[in-house]
Amino acid sequence: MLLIQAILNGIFIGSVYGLIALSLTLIFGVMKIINFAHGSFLMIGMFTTFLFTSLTNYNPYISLIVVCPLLFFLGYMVQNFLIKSVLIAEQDIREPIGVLLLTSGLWIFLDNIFMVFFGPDYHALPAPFSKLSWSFGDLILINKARFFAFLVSCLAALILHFFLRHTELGRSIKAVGQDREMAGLLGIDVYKIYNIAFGVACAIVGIAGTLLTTFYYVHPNVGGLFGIKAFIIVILGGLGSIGGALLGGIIVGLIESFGAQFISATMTEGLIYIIFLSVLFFRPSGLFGLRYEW
Amino acid sequence: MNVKKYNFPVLFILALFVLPFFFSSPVLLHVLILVYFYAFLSMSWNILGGFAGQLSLGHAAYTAIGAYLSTMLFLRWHISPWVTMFGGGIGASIMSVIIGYPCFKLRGAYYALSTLAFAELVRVLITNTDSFLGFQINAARGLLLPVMGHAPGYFQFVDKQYYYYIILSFCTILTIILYFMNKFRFGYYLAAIREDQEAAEALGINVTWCKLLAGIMSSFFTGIGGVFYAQYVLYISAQSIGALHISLEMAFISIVGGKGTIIGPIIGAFLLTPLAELTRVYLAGTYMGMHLVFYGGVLMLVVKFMPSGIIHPLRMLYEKIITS
Amino acid sequence: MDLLIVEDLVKYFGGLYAVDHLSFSASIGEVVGLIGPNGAGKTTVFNLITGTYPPDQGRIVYKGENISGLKPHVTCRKGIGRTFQITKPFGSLRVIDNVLIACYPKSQTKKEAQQKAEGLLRFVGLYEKQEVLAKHLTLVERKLLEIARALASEPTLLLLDEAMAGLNEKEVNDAICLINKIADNKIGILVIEHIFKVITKITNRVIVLDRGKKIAEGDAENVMNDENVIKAYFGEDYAFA
Repeated sequence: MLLIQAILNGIFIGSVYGLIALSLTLIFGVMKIINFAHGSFLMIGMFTTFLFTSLTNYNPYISLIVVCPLLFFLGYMVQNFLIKSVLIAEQDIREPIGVLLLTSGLWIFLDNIFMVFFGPDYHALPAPFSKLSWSFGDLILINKARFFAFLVSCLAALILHFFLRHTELGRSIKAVGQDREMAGLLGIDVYKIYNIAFGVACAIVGIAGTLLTTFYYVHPNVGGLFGIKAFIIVILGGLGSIGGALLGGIIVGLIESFGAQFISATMTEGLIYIIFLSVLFFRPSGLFGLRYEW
Repeated sequence: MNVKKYNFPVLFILALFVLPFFFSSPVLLHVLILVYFYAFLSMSWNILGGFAGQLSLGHAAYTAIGAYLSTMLFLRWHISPWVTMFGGGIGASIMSVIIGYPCFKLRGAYYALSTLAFAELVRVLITNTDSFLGFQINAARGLLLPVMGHAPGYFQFVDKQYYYYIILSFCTILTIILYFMNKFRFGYYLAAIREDQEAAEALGINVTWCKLLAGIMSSFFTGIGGVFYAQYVLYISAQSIGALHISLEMAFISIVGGKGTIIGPIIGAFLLTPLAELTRVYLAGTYMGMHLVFYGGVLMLVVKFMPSGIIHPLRMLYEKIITS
Repeated sequence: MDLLIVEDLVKYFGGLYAVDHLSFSASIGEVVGLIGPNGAGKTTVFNLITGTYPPDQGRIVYKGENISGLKPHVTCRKGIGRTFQITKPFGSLRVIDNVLIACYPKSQTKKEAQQKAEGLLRFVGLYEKQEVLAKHLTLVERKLLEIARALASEPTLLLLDEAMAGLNEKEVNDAICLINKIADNKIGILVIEHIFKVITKITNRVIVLDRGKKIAEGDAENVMNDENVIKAYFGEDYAFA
């Protein structure tokens, strides 16, 4: 039953990957902003949860009360004060890379600020929490934390989908993503929408961080790999598609999970990159999405 | 040739050559060696990233291949690294064609991400290979070069001064090559490509071929840089010279200084490397990662306020000084 | 001999015919106008001729050679020059360097290319502005630069894509003179235009496209009074009975 175990684990962790990718889709796919600092926001979410739980001893999921507004605020500020001016300056350039570079700098900066303050140690939530599981016979162990992560991820994805489709704010965000100029002409304050969308995306990745903290270690550099995987998933899932991002995340999770059974961890990483490159070269529109045209 | 314009750079280079006669502190020499090393790597990156306008975030693949190939050949057959160095460079070039050919079809962020993925793939492959066709690779443990003391024939020295002059010479040679490249046809073609690729092609420039050639040049020198590292540190691992942060540093240094210019990467290296090294030496004990905080911060400031790099305000200042 | 023969050319994008079984030809010394409402496929025809994308069906024969699907830098070297509807100057480079680059493919040395570049700048009237960075040029200067660059490859076939768009009346008149000067040099020119005055003054012959299809061909005056053409541009109501 190792197989079923692997499948379940893959789906569970994959859903969290999907959630991270989803938030990146909002930024990358809808706003056309390359955010290399996404992993750093994830890491901040994780540290927040960790600190909150350590200080208050409450259930870590309660930290969401702090994580969501904090990350929204951070995202809003970053977009407004850091990214916006570069975006405006680059409007007419054929291949803008300024934001890519800016967020790369932000990534290095944030990760290492945390490294300076918190040191290179690995932190984790107190032991009992992450080890709780249900067992089905002797064969299948479902880790509670991972399962809840899966549930919350799917819930969050659904809420986001609903938000984008059926609320005015959400529709404005979609409109801006589809045709910025037109949306502006229709009276939508484009840059304010960008701020809000970025904030929402960061809040979502913060949720993912909280979920991860329940079963994964916390470390200043932890975000990097997740960030890169998120990009891979976004492109695999096709830009601008929420369902695609979630599904892509689950696929990556499954590949990792299976890979871990048969080949070493680093080789599985390599496998992800190979798949990524294959998609880029042969099917750049991913699973269900539009190609990001410059 | 406008003699007055070139006065300062030439004098500067001469000063650098003469410097060890006046200041022989090993710490100073070490920092300068690192500065020149990163300047060399960044100048190499700049050929593809700046002059050709292709933002590669995977150049660490070439430092890694250069270092590993050269070291593998040396360890197995005892050929002098002065010779295997070229093997490393050529190996890196071949890899750049393999990587470049598919990647150049992609634009912008897609291209950047694909180069990043390739470099990570190279790193993963190295980290998982113990030996290959009889050559020792040692997976994650890395390769140790035998300490030979003062062995000029084998590119090893005890006195830092030798390394100082070697890397400084490499930089000078590369600068001269770049100067001539930009004066003639190929340099102009690259300028056209980075300005507007479609227009360049409509004017008769074989864009793919030019990008590949720029990639070959860029990766060749990057590979050589990797070999220098191997011979200086005498230990290489995929995590040290093949890691993502090396790719990023090469790109960042060039961009902060001014990509697409010859001196840009040099300025960037002089600015960022000492900062990095000094913070690492003096603060790493208590504040690990501090130097990277500076890197990230400086990059953000430059992108926001001086997107063409520090060289532009500096150049205007320089021109004011000359004309007065 | 016909300079350019387009046979049964087809290009579709995502199910729509951008070019729908188009055939026409052009000879040296002719100025052929390519007109039609927006979206008729005119720029696509240019892109197919230069090789920006390959045709889905049909052939393009240039100087007797089938050039369908050859890449733009190859067609350029064979003697097809083009300008773009929205000019594409090398902004951060000087005007002289813009043209120098264009002259390089047909020159052996930098000196040769330099001399040719200066000659071309004189020809279009930009010589005094050679040190200016291209991004600082006015619209009409950019258009002239675009033409100078296209001429640099010593073309036998020149494709001008809405070269007059955005110019005022005087600038248009000057441009017409320039094009007539070029036409005297024994090359064939295809012109995409919207301005009727220009079409009547410089073309020998006009081809009208609508939705990828040729709907009329002939002398400018006749074509513009053609019922189908009027319908295409203005809609049913304006066509005379």
